Amino acid sequence: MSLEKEVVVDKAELIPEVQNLLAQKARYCSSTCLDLGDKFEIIHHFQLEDSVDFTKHIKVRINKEDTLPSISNIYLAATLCENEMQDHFDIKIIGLAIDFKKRFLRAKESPEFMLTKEKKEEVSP
Amino acid sequence: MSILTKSRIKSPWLLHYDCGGCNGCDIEVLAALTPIYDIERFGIVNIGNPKHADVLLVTGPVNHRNKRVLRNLYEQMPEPKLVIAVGTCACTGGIFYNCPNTLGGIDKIIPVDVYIPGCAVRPEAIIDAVVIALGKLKEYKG
Amino acid sequence: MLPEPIHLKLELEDETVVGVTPIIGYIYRGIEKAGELNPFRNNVFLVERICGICSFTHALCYCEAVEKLMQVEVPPRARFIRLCWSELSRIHSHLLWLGLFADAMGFESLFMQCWRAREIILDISEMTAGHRIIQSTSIIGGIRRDIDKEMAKEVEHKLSDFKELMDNTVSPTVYNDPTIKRRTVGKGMLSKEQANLLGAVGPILRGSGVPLDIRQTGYAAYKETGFEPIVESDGDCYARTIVRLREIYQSRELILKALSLMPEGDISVTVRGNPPEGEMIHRAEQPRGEVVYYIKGNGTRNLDRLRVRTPTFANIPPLLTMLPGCELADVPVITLSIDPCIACTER
Repeated sequence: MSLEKEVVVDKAELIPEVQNLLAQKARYCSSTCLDLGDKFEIIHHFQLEDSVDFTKHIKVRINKEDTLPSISNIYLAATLCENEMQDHFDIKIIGLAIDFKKRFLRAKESPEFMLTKEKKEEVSP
Repeated sequence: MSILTKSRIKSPWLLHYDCGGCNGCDIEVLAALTPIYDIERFGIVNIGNPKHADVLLVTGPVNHRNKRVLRNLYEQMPEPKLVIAVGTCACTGGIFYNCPNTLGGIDKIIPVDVYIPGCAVRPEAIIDAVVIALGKLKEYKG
Repeated sequence: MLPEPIHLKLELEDETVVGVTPIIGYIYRGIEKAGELNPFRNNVFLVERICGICSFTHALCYCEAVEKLMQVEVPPRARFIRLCWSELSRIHSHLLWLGLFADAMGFESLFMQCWRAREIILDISEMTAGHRIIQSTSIIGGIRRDIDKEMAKEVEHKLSDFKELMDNTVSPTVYNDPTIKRRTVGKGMLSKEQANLLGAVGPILRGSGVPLDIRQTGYAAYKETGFEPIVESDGDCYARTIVRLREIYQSRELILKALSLMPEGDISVTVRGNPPEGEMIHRAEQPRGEVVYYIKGNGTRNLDRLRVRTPTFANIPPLLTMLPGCELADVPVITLSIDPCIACTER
């Protein structure tokens, strides 16, 4: 089962898509980051004005070494979620409105990138 | 019993610090101050300054960012000082035992005098624990 | 007397705040990771302890998300009783907040009265669920405890006591007292456009005139009981106070309505198997606003990902725009007006 009303976009299309939503007066809800093994998947959840249901989930898939453009200059609210992503995953986000430099929730001694999945080692028979 | 010890037992001042609990125990500590339980009638006062405090109430499993704060608060308190671990997660880590950023129990950082298990603890248990802790003060010679 | 640590780095010019940076992480535990390590059924008890104040709504939202993913139909009686508990937790949370808010502006006696009224609600919660604040009654597939007829009568009785106490003490004070008005009217302004753009949720959003409440989507039994959001248009601290005060009364009505409409029947269904592969997003309205649960199953008994966006997390950006320009002495009042729950924010 996948999310209803989801849109999968490329990295380059993300910013125009979000700007388009801003023009429609959408409300930013949340962002989720997932580790798919070889890729990161980032989902931004939005809701349009005058509607109680979710309107749009924007999905972006990037390679692990790639950078992700931040949407926090369009929606300031996203900056906290993106900082949290940086804490939890080894992901590079460029253009953050407020950058906590991977010390948003984490202290110096805290485990690093705790939500990143470990690479499954192939078990030799 | 010296007059100092006697008056200490009659009016212990509390310092409450939340070390990462879920808020459940914290609001029960506050509830103990309000009309139904009203611990102020025993001379117990909740204050915000560690240098005024006799008893330190700590809730929650310690995490990496606040362990330094907890240690600091404990060291600032004057002797004799008592520490009460409020709630299961302050005692052992409790339900957060496998959360990566917790240390599991405040006794990893500072010595504890009284443990109160329960998730969340009841205000009666907190009052009881303070009374037990005060019993320890009687033996203090200083 | 905020019982939780939050660190706001303020920049001041004389007594006026010009800039603010929040520094959080003092309560960060890493619950999202533990949610992947635990079996999905045990997670109910873990997510309840994200926050001890709105714990039931956390459990409800998580259970409904898993039930939606596994396509389980919950018995109607369970949905009604879930509504009762989540509204009870809303009343006690709002009263707790009102007490702390009164304390922040130095109104000690209102603080005591709010907490006195709150104890009645906690008694009901203890009577019906067995615990004062963390109910732990919601499970995947329904609930664990029934509210029988006798108990329902007792609940109604206690709620009428509660209304009497509120009518005589708390409400007239909040509506008429000049001290409260001087400290809150016109403080911490947030316009409708700003609230929308910054993603504010809950009473802050509704206090700024946006009629958005997730209960309108009709989760649990809100479809059957009917629901209209409470909106105030001023967008200041006083408007948020009034929204919350009116919600206390509305929640009481909702509980009474749910108890009278409650159908007979089972309270839970047995759920077998594991969550299938797939993702699900579900939202619920907590006392502080909308909570978003995102879960991803992979066919085993552990979830692939559990993501929680809590209301205070969404309300921090509005706080950052409210604070600049205010006086230093108003900072506690404005900070408390978003009802910060740090345990929620950091998880």
